[in-house]
Amino acid sequence: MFSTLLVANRGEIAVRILRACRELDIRSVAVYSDADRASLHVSLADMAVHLGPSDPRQSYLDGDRLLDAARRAGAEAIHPGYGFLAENAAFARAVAAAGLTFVGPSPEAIESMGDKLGARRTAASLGIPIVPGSEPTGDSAALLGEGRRVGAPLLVKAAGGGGGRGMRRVSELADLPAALEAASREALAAFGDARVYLERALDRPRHIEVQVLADHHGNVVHLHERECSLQRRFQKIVEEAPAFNLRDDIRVALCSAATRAAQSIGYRGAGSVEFLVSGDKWFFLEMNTRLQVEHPVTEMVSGFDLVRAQIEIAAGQPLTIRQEDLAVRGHAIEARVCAEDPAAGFAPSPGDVSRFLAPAGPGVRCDAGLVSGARVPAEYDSLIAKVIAHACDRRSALARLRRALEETVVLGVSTNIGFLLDLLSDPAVVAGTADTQLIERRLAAAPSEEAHQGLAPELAAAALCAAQTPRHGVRADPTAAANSASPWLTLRGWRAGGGAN
Amino acid sequence: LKLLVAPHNRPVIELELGTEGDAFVITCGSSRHEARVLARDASLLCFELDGRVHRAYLQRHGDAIRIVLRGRQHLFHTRAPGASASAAASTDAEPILRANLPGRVQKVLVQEGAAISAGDVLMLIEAMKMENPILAAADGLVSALHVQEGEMVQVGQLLATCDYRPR
Repeated sequence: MFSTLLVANRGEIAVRILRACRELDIRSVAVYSDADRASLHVSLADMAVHLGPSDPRQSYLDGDRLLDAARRAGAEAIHPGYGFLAENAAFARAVAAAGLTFVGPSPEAIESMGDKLGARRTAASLGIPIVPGSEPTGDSAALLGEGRRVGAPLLVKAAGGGGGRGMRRVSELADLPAALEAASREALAAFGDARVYLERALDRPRHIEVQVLADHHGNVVHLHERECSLQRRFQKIVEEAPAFNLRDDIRVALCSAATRAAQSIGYRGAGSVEFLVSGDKWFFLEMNTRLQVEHPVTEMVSGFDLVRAQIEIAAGQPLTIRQEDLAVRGHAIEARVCAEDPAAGFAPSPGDVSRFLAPAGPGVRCDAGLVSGARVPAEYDSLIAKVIAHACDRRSALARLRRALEETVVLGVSTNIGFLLDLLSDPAVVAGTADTQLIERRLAAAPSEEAHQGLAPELAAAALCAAQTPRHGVRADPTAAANSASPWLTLRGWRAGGGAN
Repeated sequence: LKLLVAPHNRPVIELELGTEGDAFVITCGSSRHEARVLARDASLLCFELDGRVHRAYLQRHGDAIRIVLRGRQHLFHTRAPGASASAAASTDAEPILRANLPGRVQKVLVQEGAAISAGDVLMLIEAMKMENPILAAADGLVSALHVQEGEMVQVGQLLATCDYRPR
């Protein structure tokens, strides 16, 4: 086992990995940019190394700086988390060249799946169905021709990407040129690669992925499936395990295809093979050669620690768990809490979080990257916490997740919690019949006005709050308020912590 | 005592506040409600409203109150009737668009003088790894653009000025 491991990431995933290190008694090294000097992950590590400026290109995306930090801290292994350099084969290669261990698959495995065309070819060669589409190119004239051949509706996707960046849905061919331009611009900004390709957009598909785990000794197991159909702009928002009401023959076919795909490329470590399921048809989508954001739902239903397994596999240890021991217990659902404002088109909402209270109670897990008083920097992803609920069945897990989100307090920045609560009460979500386009359809529909019986408690809270002017202290003097130019009203007789007189 | 509460982007609600014994009485139109404050600190307000207990977390930003209640966020502007508070302006479209996060101007989609409708995308700012649209808040004209494509912008930096038609 490693004695020292560097976590080349930030936020909630760095916290998750640092916790695993502590439990494995591995000395941990955090890295941080200027913006993250006071972030939670830094203080959870045994050692912290400053990387550079807040711009990720000069910190978390700078392989040389990360290797230098590892050298200085005496780290033997580097865990990349997800995002940043997690699927960068050149970085994985540089880590190995520096004599360190990359906690993840080989650079060759990353390359074979990181290149979407290669991934589609690999799947096809194994007899795994792929969605009809084009080859990736930077030539938009060629793509327009391909678009006519495949037919609308289409998806424009980034060749070098994932996570929904550089993706556009096109309902009619007339919209294709504009979508190609926007997608390749976003792809260039996000991945430094402007190449995009086309895929036919399926009718209301479900997004289902299979978690696989492979060691250096030829053992490959799967940890069953997750459903991630609730997405907005191709970003997953709510994920669950297992997939609800999925036909058993399809479930078995997906798990078998995922295991075969991992075996065929000599995969090792944790990975996810993503599929689209539409009616009785299913298609390979892509493989993510890293830990997924939504890995906790699998951990909850399997009772298996995926991050610990990643580290043990990287250290050369064989998998000790057998496929038949990996059962699914109950149902788990995760909601991603993001610093964004749904009322303003989900615009990011960075800023200082004056108060953060994580939910607790039976079956609730909260993987957060922040504490009260922390700052959500504008330079990085807006994900601030993942709230996960585990219960005996799906219905109970949904109720538990809603309860947990209602307990979550984030004060200072806008969050999507209200949106998540609405989503988790949506009839299609409750019934377990959601598809990947559900959220876009709901957002396009007119917003429903909330009907209140009696006075809304938030209105009462605003009134009670406004009744005390901070300029005059909580024990306000009504005459002072009357004489001031302040529009605030002051109520007589209110006293902190006690009854009014 | 009268109080106007404006939920963000919603019509103003008029409330009347009074005290009765150790309780507050909140009157909204013809309905009358009783409230009691159970606990309070800088950001917590625990109260009883018509017999039900609520736990609200709150934060003031100038004239605005941000409230978190059962996970949901609410933004209010409150003022006394007749007070010409700046809070009143919050329900009207703000004609000066500023960057609310630092980033790079990826694309400017309108020209000066262009007619715009509420919800039109004026420009895209790349920040937090995403394209963030800057939207027109109402119908009107773009009177001035203050940034160019490729430019880095800071929080609060002027992006565009619009001449919105009065509603």
